[in-house]
Amino acid sequence: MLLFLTGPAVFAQGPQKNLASACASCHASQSTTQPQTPMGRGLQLPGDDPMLFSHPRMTFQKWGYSYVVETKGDSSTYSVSDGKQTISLPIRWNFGKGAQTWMFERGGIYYESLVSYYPSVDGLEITTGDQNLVPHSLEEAIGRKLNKSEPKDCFGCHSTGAVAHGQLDLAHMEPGVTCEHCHVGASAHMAAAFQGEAYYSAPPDLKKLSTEDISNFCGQCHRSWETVVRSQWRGEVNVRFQPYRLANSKCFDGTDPRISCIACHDPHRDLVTDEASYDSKCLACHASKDSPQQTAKPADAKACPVASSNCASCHMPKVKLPNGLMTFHDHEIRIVTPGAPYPN
Amino acid sequence: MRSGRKASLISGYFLIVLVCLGDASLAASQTKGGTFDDLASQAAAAREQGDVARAVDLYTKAVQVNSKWSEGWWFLGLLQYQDGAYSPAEDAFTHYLELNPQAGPALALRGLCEYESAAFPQAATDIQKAISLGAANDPHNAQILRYHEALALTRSGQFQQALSAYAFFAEKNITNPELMVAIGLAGLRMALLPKELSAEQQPLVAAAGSAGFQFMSGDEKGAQKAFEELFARYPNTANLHFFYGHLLFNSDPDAALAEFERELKISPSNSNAAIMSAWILLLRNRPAEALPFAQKAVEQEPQSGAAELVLGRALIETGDLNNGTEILQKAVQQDPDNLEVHIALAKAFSKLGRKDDARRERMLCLQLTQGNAALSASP
Repeated sequence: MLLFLTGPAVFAQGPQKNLASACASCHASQSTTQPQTPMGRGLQLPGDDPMLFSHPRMTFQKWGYSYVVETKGDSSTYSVSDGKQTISLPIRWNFGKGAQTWMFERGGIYYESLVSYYPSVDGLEITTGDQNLVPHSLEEAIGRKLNKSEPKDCFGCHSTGAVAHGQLDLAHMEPGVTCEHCHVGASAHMAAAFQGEAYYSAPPDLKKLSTEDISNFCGQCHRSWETVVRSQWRGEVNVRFQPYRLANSKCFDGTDPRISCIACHDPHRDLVTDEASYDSKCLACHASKDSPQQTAKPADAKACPVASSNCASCHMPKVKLPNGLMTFHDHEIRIVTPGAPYPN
Repeated sequence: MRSGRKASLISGYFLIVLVCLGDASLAASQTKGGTFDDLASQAAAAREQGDVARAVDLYTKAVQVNSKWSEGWWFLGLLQYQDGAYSPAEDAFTHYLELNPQAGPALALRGLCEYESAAFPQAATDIQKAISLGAANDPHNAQILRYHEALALTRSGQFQQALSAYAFFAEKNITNPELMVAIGLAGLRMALLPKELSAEQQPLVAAAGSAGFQFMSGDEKGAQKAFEELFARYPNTANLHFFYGHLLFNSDPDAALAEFERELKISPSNSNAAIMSAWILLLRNRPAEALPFAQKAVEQEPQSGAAELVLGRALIETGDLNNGTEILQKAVQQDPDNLEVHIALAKAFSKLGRKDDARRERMLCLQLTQGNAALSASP
C-alpha cells in the first residue's frame, strides 16, 4: 500500500532518472552500492566528477602540442595548443571513474580526447590505443575522430538509455550503468510493481544465464571472446578484455556456473581487490578432498600442489598494458611458466 | 585502365616495369650443348631487334630443348603477351612459375593473360597473389593490377571483394568515368565488365559508382546526398539500397540495417540483404529478430554458406542448440577456413557443455587469425 502511494510520485519525475532510488525500495542492497561502482560512475557529467575537482589544472605535452585540462567551479575545459593557436572545448562527458577519457562534439563530429587522466601517473597521458595517432594539425591533436557508430558504442556502455532505435539519444541519456542498463524492463517492472504485479513483470533473471551467455552478456561492454577474435586484438592490450581471456582458459566451461563472471564478481559492488578473497572460487573446482569447500558440483579439477591460497597471484598474474599505465589481472587462468610469453 | 590505345600504352609501361622486376630474378642460365646455346642467343638477338615472330619461334624451340630454362619461358610469355597471344603466354608463364613459384611479376602477367582470356576467377587469384608478392609496389603497376583484380572479381561475382579492391582508388583519389562505372557494377552486383554494360544502364551504374566512390573517399555526407538522389530517381532498382548498406556496415551498422530492410521491400527475394540483416541483428544481440531473416535466406539460397552461418547462429542464440550446431557443422564442411563459422561453433559447443570441442574451435579461430595482429585495441 505504501509502495502504491509513493510509486506514482516517484514516476512523476520520470522513470529513468530516478530508477535506482525507486528500485531501492525493494532491492536496497544493490541500489545502495551500485551507483558508486566504476560501472555506476562509468560516465560522469560536469560538476559531478571528484577527480576533476581535485585536479583543477592538469597539463601535458606531446608531439609539439600542449594540453591543459582545467576545472573552474562546475565546468571543465580541454585545451590544446600548438603555440600559435589554441582550441578550447568544454568537457561535457567524462568516461570512466578511475582512468578518465573525455568526449567532445565539434561541428557534428564526436572526438575521443587524445589525452586521458590515469591514476597510475596521477596526471595526463596519451589515451590507451591512440599511441600511434601522431597528429598533423591542431584539429587532429584534439583527439581521435569517431565514426558514426562509435559514440553509440561509447555511450551505450558507459551510460543508460543513450541509444534508442539505433540512434544516439543523449536527451534521454542517464550517466553511468544504472539498473535498466542490464536489467532491461526494470522501468516497466517498477511501474507494474506499483500495481502489485511485480512478479509477472520482473526482468529476466541474469543469474539464470549460462556461463557462456553471461560471458557474452558482460562481453557486450567488456568485450566478448568473439569480438576480440574478430577484431584481431592480439598482445598484452587484450588483457583488459576479461571475457575473452577467461574463455581462452583451459578450465572455461560454458555450462559450469563456477567459472562464470558473476561467480567471482558482484556487479553491484566495487571490485574486491584482496586476492585471497577469490580463493574459495578457485577451490570450488580445484579443492582437494581435505579442503573445506563444499559445492553442488564435485571438485573435479586437479588440486594445486603448491598452495591452496592466493591462487590468483600465480594463476592470474597481473599484466601491464604496453603503455604501462594500467594493470589488469590476466583472466586466462593457467599454470604460468616463468619467462613464458603472454599467451594469445 | 581504358580500353583501346590507352590500355595498350599503359600495358607497355607496365611491361617495362615488370620486365625490369623479372630481369632481376633471372640469373644467366647454365646450359650445355651448342644447339640450345645457339637457339638461346638467336632468340635474344631477335627479341632485341624487335622481331617478335622470330623471337617467339626461337624461344619456343629453345624451351623444347631445355624445359628448365626459366629465362626462355619468361621472354616467351612476355613476347606472346605483347603480341596479344594470351593463351600461349599464359602457358609460358605457367612453366616459368613452376620453376619460380614466388615470382610476382610472372603471376601478375599470367593473371592479366587470364583476364584477357576471360578466365576471371583465375585472373583474380593470380593477381591477388602477385600483389601479395610485391608486384604492385610500383605505383603504376598498382593501378593496373588492382583495377584488373577488381574487374575480374566483379565478373566472377565476388562483389564485396571487388569493392574492397576499388577502395585503393578512392584512398588515392584516382578517378575516371570508366572507374565509376566499374565501381557501380560491383556495388549493384552486376557481374559485367564496363564494356559489356548496355548504354541505357550506363547513367544509373555510373551514378551509383560515383556515390560509392564518394563514400569510400571519406565524403560520407556527399555520398548520402548522392544516394538519396539515386533512390528518388531509381526507386525500384535492385541492389541500390544494398550497395549503400554495404558501405555503411562498418561505420554505422544500424543505418546499414535500415538500408538492407529497404532493399528487401524492393526486392523481397534478395537473399544477400536477408543475410546481412540477420548478421547485423546477431551482432547486435537481437537473435530472435535475426531468425526470420536467416530462415528466409536459407529458403532462397539453400547452398549459401553465409545463409547457413546466420541461420545456425540465430538458432543457437534462440535456444535451438542441436539444429543450430548441425547447420554450422554442415557450413564448416563447405568452408573449413571460415572464421565466423568456427566462432559460431565455439559458442554452440560451449553452450552445449562440450568443453573440449569448444576449446578446439576457439584455438582454431586464434590460429586462423594469427599473423593478422592489429597494433592496438580501441578502448
